[in-house]
Amino acid sequence: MKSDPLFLYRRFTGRRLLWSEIMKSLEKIDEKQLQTALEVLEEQGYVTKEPSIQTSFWAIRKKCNRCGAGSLYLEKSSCAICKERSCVYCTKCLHRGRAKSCSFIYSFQPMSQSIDFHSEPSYPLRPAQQKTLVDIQKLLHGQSRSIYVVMVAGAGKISILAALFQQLLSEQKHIFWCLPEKEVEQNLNQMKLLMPNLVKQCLDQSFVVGTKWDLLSYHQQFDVLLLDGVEVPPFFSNGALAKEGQQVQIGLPFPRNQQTSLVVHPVRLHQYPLPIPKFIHYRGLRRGLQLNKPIEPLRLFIEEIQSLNGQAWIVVPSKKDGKMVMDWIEKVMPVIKDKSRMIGEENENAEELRILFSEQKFTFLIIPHYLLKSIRIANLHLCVLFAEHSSIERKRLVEMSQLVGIHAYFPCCEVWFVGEENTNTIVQTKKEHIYLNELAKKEGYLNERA
Amino acid sequence: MRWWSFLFPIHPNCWFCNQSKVQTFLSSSWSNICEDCLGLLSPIQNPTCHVCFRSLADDSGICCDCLMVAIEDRVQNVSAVAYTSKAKKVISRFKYLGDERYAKYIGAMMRDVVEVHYRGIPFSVITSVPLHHKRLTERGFNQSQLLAEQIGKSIGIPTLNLLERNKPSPPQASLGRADRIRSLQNSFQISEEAQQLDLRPHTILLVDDVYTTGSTIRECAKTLRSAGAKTIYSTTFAR
Repeated sequence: MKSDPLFLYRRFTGRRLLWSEIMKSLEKIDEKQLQTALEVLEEQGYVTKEPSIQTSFWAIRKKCNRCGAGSLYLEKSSCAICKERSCVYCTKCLHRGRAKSCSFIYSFQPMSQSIDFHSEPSYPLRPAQQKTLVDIQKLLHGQSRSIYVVMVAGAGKISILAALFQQLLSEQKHIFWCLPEKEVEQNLNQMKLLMPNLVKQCLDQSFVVGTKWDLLSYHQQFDVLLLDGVEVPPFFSNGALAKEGQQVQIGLPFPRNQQTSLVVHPVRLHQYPLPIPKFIHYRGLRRGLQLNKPIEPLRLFIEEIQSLNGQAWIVVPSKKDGKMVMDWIEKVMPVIKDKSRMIGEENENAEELRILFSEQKFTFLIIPHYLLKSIRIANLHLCVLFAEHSSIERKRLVEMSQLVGIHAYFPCCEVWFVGEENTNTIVQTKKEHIYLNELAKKEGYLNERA
Repeated sequence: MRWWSFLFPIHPNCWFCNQSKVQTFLSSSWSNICEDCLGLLSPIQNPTCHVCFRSLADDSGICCDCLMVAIEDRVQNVSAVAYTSKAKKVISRFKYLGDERYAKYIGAMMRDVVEVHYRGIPFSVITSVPLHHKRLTERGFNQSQLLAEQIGKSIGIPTLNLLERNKPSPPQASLGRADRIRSLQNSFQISEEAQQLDLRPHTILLVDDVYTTGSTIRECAKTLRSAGAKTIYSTTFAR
């Protein structure tokens, strides 16, 4: 049964898999029978086969045919299977299984399947959400192959997407919802709560939720690829999208590429404006922290948070800077020492500290910017120290600034950038927030009391 | 190039994460590992068991497990790091994901340990724990053999495949203590290549990736002893 060509084609239609991946998903199958079945499918044109690694004498021509990685990621090894001493394998997509020059990738042609989909009553959308949905739908029905959606954090993204997915599935379209690895489960659970039938009916080949690495195992399968907070190299998306497929990117900062079709959603669900970041110029910040001198802006921020009875993230560029701030607090402001904790690296302890912080067990969380994650606390504020640091890009600065003020009970939160230099990144971040607020006001989305 | 790299040194990344690492000249392999990874890998410190290299609370010599093994079956072992969760991750990236670059890194760490603890022992052959041919074709490489080759290359001793596995056994990591010992009984034999050799005068260094109960090492040593080998030592990455 498992080695029947028709069974194999139905099972793997629209997929792009290594031999080892096929073997793994078909447990206890005879290798020779599988080989014969795949040869039959190849002869009939249902399967195309290519080497996993494209080898060449010239480094520029060497390429992993699965993830598109160049010679920088390709390593030689002596292989026990092909007995070659220079069998090349890819180290970039290694966690998805070894792509080697002696193995093949099998691409199964997509099958045109009709989707048996029954729509369910959708969640009522606010006017701003409704407009964004209509704008995206218009662009999807047009000629645009790439659409960029600027959506502020706390805009009710899931409800907009649920309505969009309903519409697309009723049009018999195949969708891939691409998310960062750590957010797949959370987003899927939220979608299940909002539209249980949608997920139950369609979580197969017609509606797939996964990471960018999952995209690599599909072949021309999807009509719409929705990149939600992830950036995907063209090689990843080109293989998975059908010939006429479209890509929708949801992100935060405005794109630099002016050619993509743009949709802007400038307002949060609670309809209050976004907090505008304040830049505080402080010369000799690092030296002051190292020598445990009083740092006026940091002291003021801490005192303000305490007077507001709130909590705050103090974001730094690196773990080392975090330790320096902790030392400074211990020496200069020992009163808040017991109210401050630091996360230096991602481990079980970090997750525990995040939970304690969300339970308001302490007030100040010192954290490197790359470990900062969204926490739903009402009275939460943000101070970015060394905001001019080259490791903090504009995208990250915008993302961090929008993590506060999401809660409807406390929409007016403080966002401070403290640095030794006012950079273009900081100026652009500020301008972007002002523009989004002005746009929301112009469109009449803002709460009248705001 | 030396003056250039002295003036503008490039700090390479830690072997096991992406953190940049400042390296000094003539430093050991451990200096290629960042402080965070080093803390998580925890190199084995004295006092240790004189036989299996397990960390002991006091300098009592031999651990309880080794006391239960007959003296003639014991094989002296040294290991680079404790079998922590980080060591598990490193081994699984190397062994199961197949990142063969790790052979170079792990091999260098094991060489350092061999040089320190087996100083003065005149090894003449290095060999490794073999894989069954089915597992070998599945995985594409023998991780122990790669480690043995790395150590051999750096200390200038030939690496030979003296052993072969004559029956497949389930992965040791999936078995309990008693099953591990039982599953390996009579699984090894002398390879065709080694049958031509006289193993009696040789001092053999046996290489494996992990030492848990020591049953694999002892079983391999038993086969080598039956072929005439007198002195066998072993080394593993994790203990």
